[in-house]
Amino acid sequence: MSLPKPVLEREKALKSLSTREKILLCFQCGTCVGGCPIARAISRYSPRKILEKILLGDAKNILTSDLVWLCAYCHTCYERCPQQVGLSNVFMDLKNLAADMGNVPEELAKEALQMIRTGWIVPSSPVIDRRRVEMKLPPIPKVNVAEIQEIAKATGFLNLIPEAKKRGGGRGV
Amino acid sequence: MEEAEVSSYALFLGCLIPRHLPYMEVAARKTLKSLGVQTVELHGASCCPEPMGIQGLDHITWLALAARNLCIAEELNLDILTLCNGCYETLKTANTLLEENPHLKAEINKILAKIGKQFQGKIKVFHLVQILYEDVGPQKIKSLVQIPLRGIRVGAHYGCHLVRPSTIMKFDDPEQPSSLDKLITALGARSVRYPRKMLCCGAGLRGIDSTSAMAIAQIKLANMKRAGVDCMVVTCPYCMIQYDLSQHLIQRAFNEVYNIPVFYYPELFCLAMGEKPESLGFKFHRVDPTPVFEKIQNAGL
Amino acid sequence: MRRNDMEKREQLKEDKVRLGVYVCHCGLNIAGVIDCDKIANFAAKLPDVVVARDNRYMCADPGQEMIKKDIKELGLNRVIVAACSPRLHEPTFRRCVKEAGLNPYLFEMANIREHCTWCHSHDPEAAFEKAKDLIKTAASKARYLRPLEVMEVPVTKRALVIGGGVAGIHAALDLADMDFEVYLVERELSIGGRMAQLDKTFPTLDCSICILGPKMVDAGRHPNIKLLSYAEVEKVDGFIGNFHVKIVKKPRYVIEDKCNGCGECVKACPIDVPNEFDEGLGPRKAIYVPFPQAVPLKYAIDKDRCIECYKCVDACGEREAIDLSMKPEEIELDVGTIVVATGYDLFDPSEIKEYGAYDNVINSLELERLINAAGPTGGKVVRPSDSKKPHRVAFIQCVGSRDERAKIYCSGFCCMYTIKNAILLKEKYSDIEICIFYMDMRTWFKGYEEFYRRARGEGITFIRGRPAEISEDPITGNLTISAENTSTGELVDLEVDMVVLSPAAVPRIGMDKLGRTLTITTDPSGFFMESHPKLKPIDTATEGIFLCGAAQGPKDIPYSVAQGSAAAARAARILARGKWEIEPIVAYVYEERCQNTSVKCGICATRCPFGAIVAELNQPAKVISAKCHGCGTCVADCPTSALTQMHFTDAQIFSQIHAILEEEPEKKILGFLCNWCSYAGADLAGTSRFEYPPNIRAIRVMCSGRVDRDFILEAFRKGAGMVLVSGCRLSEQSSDCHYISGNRHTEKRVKALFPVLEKIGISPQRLRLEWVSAAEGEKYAQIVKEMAEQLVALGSEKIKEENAKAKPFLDRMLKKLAEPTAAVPSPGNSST
Repeated sequence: MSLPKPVLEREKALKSLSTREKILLCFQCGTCVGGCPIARAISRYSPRKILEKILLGDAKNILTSDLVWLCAYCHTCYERCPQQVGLSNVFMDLKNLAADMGNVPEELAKEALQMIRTGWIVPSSPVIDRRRVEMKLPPIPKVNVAEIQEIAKATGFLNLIPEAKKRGGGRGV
Repeated sequence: MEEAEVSSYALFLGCLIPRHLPYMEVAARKTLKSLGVQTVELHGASCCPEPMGIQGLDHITWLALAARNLCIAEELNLDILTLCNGCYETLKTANTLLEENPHLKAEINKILAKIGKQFQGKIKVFHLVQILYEDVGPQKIKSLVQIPLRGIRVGAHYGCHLVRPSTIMKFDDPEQPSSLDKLITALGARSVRYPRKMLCCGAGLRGIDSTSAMAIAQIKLANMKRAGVDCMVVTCPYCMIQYDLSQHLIQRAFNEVYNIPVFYYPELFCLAMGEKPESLGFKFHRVDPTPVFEKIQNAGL
Repeated sequence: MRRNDMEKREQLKEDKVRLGVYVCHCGLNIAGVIDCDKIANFAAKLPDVVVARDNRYMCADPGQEMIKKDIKELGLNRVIVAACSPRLHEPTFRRCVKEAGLNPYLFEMANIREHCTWCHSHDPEAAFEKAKDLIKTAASKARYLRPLEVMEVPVTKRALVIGGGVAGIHAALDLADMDFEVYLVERELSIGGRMAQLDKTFPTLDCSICILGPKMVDAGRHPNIKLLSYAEVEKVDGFIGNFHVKIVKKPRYVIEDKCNGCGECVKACPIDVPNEFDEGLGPRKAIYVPFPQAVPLKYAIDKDRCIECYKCVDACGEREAIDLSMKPEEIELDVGTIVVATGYDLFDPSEIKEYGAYDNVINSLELERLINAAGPTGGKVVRPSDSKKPHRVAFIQCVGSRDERAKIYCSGFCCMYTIKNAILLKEKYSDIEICIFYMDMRTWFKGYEEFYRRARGEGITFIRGRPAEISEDPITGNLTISAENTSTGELVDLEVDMVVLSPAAVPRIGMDKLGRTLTITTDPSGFFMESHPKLKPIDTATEGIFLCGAAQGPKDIPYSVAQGSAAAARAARILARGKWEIEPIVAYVYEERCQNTSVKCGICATRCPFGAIVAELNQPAKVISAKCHGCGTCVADCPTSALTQMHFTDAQIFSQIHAILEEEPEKKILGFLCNWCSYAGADLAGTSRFEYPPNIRAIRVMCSGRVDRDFILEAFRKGAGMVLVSGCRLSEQSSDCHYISGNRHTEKRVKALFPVLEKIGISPQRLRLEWVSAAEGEKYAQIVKEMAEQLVALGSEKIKEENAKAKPFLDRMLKKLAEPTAAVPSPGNSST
């Protein structure tokens, strides 16, 4: 591996990360991995290794794989990192970069579409509606979906969701 | 005792509780009512939005949608009370980020202007457990208990987003919290020490890798079982789904038996206040909590 | 024949200034860019100049001889050398003129190399004009220079050593062997410090107390060492050679002279208390010695725990050594130098919450006491929860060290002592399993890497990975360590019987209070700050006070011992000479102008980090010259201009400002640069040959704190294009200021000027405040470039316009400058 190109790659990836200054401080101690619930369950996932790849300019492989979506955002690494790199936020940034590149898990795309269409990530269900009445709960307040869709249009959110893009998202989603 | 000032909050229901686990809502509303905490419905509010996936797609959209929810409460001039750890994290983080970063606030307000809203940063965000601990307090709760939950050994599960990230949540301690434990002991029960108490429930992996999600939840169930609990307490619907709805799957996958009923803290609170189990939605729990009710009754005799 | 300086001083009143200017070619360094002959001719035409010459190398013998000859034959009473930076050769030329009989403070340098020909070589014409300006400025100041005498103070031939650990003991012994009287003050009941608590030392595995004990006894017995144990330093006044110290000896309730250390009292005492020496792991009685080899071996009563049953008094019997009515004793003494050797404490690892506070998780010092045969378990290593022998022990490194949430520094000795403890455990219990979790292994000195090798060779496991958390099994008390083995990338959940943490070494409790008592500072880590990290690691910024051992930063025993001897040597330098010279660039009070006599002022006292100026109620402020380091911050902030600084008086600096701004001021950037950092940084820019625009003219001050706001206002009043004030590096957390806090006051003072300038219509970019360190030559060049560009962008017309508009305001604000100043005093008047 020759040096100049990865450094450029790293700089490119880091440039868009708001957390880039702190990432450089990682000294690979592994505290994040020791406490990470995902690393415990999935042996090929290692927050430390992901960070090392980024430092060495190998970000593209991470960003196009499913690894970047495995972080459960539990913040255990964030609390314990001795260099206070702010790991969970770094991974959130990486997810954004990955989404920009078109790498979006299917489940998440569905969830996002559901939210833009109805304002909720959980669909409504007549069973639950009946149950609420039985349990004497007030009806769920209506959501202002139009406002949500305005916002999504303003930010170009739907361009990130392959399904929505296919249907020319933004118009009557 | 003097009647405390009646506090009023905008109740943020979120998605999961009202639309999937309404019995949690029942317990929450009963709890708040019995303490004289008034709540107002948030008309127009949407999903918070969900802090892991939606924020993962686009931070700015997530922030704008969260700000929109905050604006609705600001217009009512009421602080927000959430029932779910996820909603708590999203709304509190958004509130803090926008307050502390004028550039970000300006950017988001530009987007909000398109729907005629402006974020000002006038209100605060609380979690139900936080209100119970900080505003009401374990002492007051203890004094209101009708049926002390004597002899009940409880495993307290804080979840991730109630106390982390500590720089934003600023509630209790991220590694050795005590608020939920004290709320449990206030009801007369025992909060049991068990290893890896602050471990995440694993809900984040649901839908992406269910087996791994279960593996993570299993660790805590096994630890709690070893420590000898009668039940566990959660403060979040995702954790409820992981530990209650999926417990039988985990048992099957790992060839273990746990039979640990899972309670949303307000449910336990209601029991201690003398509510009949039938009036709460326990029939919708997957893991049968009857053994706990029997134990409570026996202890009372 | 040298003329008497006293005569000369008198003569100054009548005599005219007779100035000699010497322009150095410096080979081609200067001559290659400007015509030195022409410069000398220009200088010859300046007022008061009697002779102006040029020479290839002024600093060499022929150059110096030339100056000396002229002083003698032409009766010169001021000398200027236009050459390199004064930071380089001012001492050389001062010596030279002194040898010719002229007071060395009647000499001034013009920096036409580093600040001129080296950085403006691309514009020789501009360099030439600048060189003329610099010489003219130097001549201007030279006229106002007055002879100054170095102050000589006597030195009390006695030393104080604060702290009786291994470093302090060695410092005391070395000084005592040099026949100086030494007072060794120790806060605890016995000397010995941390080393006395250790079992064995790395890498030799010497028994710690065995090698320390004899030294402790020597220190206790040395005829030249007076040991004051259970005592603390309360107050320190004075200055180098002349410290007046107040020590308070806490009451032992045991009369030391009568106690023979028999120990009968202990047998009778019914009260058990956790023993601090054993880190609370074992008991002691309310009447006790901390450990058997204590020096002095005298008992003491812990009055807080004593129930006054008098059983000890009975047991003591005829010796009558116990006196429960004892009071603290105050001891006052005069010393010439002070050595600070106060050691370290350990970080409380329970602050790293994810490691929990479990019974069977102990720290390294606790393990030392367990392993030690004289410890609470007689050398048996057992775990706290059930006193059972552990079969598998884990060590965790860097607990609180290298951690942004706790201490960011590395504590330096923990890798080595953990390896040592692991080897010791293996020696004691051959079947014990040991695992060390680490991030890096720092085994850097003689025998250390070999020691590490030995540990690995004995089968001790090393896992590179910092543990994320420790959980406890509530039933067995065993601990599970969750970590990643970064070497294999695998998660490790290691179950062990006992965990030993290596906590960070932290400053000892009470260090900041002692620092204030001694007027020495601590660095951002909380340890005492040395004068210069590379070249003066033992000195502090306060002359006469030295550091050694862990007080200066965590270090191992050989390093501490070496520093102890070093501190003794540094102290002896002063004590041996019997007298000490103090540079006369000190502050001076015009008492008739000091407003502290009528109103409560004392602003000057608040500016001084050295306690060198005191302002007692209704008294004029008094400068303790020997303590004054010469920064000038008090001078600049005095609201009634009652203070001046020798060799950097207001008159001298104003003359420089006027000289620089005499011609085309609107095209010039006037810079005030501090001697230690910014001026040095500017020198570096020249040395590095960074080219930058020649508009800037620098005035050297010792500290940016000296820059009076009146200097800046006067500069604008005289039509300056721009003004730059630059000092040592400053941030929220730390300051590199050579005078500790001068630059903080500069910042406040200059920032307060910005709204004033705005009000009178001066564009904000015309005043610039910067922090340039001695290493930032490029930064300096960049700043000057930017300012010059802004100068051009504003344009001379606009600047002249703004200046004209502002002038009436500035005239009014600076009216008091026109008032006659008091006569410049001769140095004999300065208070000591």
